[in-house]
Amino acid sequence: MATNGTDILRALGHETRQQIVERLIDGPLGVQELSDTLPVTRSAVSQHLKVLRAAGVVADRAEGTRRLYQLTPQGFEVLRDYLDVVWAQALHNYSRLAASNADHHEEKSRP
Amino acid sequence: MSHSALRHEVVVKASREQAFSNFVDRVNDWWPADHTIGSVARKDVVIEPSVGGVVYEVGDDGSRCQWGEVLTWDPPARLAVAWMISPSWQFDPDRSNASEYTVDFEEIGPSETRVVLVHSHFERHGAGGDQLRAAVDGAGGWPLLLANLAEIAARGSCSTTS
Repeated sequence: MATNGTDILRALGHETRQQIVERLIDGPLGVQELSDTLPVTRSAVSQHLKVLRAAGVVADRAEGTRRLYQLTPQGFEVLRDYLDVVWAQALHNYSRLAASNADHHEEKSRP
Repeated sequence: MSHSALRHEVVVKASREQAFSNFVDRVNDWWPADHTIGSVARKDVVIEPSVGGVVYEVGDDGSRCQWGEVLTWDPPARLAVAWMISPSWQFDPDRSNASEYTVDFEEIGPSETRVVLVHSHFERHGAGGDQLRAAVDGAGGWPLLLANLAEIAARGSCSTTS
C-alpha cells in the first residue's frame, strides 16, 4: 500500500513543485500569480498544486472568486511521513538481518 | 495526511532474545545507510542499555550525534525511545518536543518473533512553534525543510566532535 510518506517524497522531488513551495513562503498566492512567475503553463501549475495538496504540503482557501494556496505549517507531519518510509525500509533490513543471524547461531551449535 | 502514529510490524525467524538483541545491538547493520544524522560517514549506532540511555550515532572520525534517549528498557519484551530529531533534522535537547517509538517483541514460537513498532506523538515536534517559524522564515526556509528533507537526512546535520 502506498503510504503518505511516498506521496510526500514524490510531491517534493520535482523542481517546479519546489519552486512553487519557495514562492509560497512569503504568503498565499493564487494560481495565476504563481504561473506568472514560473516558466510553466497555468494548467501545469494547477496540476502541481493538486499533487502538493494531496500530499498535504499546501492547502487552499477561497478568497472572493479565486482560490489562494498556502503552505501548511505542519513540519512535523512531513517528518512523520518521511519516517514512515524510512521505518519500513529499516524493519525490512532488520528482519533479514535477524533471520541470517539466527541461521548462523544454529550452524554454530551443530556438533 | 494525518497526525496518527506510524505502525510497522515484521515477523522474524529468531527467538525473542535474539530479536531484541539484533534490534538494540546491531542498529548500524539495519538502519538505512543513506538516512543519517551525522554529517560524516557513519561507523556505528549505539543504544545505551538502560532507561535514560543515550541513543547516538558514531562517525568515522569518532564524532557522536545524538538521536534520542531510552524511555523503556525491558529486554526481551519492550524498548521505547524518545526521537529527538526535529523536522529540520536537528537534534533538539528538549525531550518534551520529542516523538517516541515503542518496539514490542512478541513470541510466536521458540524461533519466531513478531516485532511491532509504533512511532507516535509527532505533534510534539510542532510544539516548538517558534522554532518552526524560525526555520520557515530563516535562510533556507521551507525549501530546505520540505523539499530537501531526504537530502538533508542523507547529508546529515550534526557535526559535533566528541
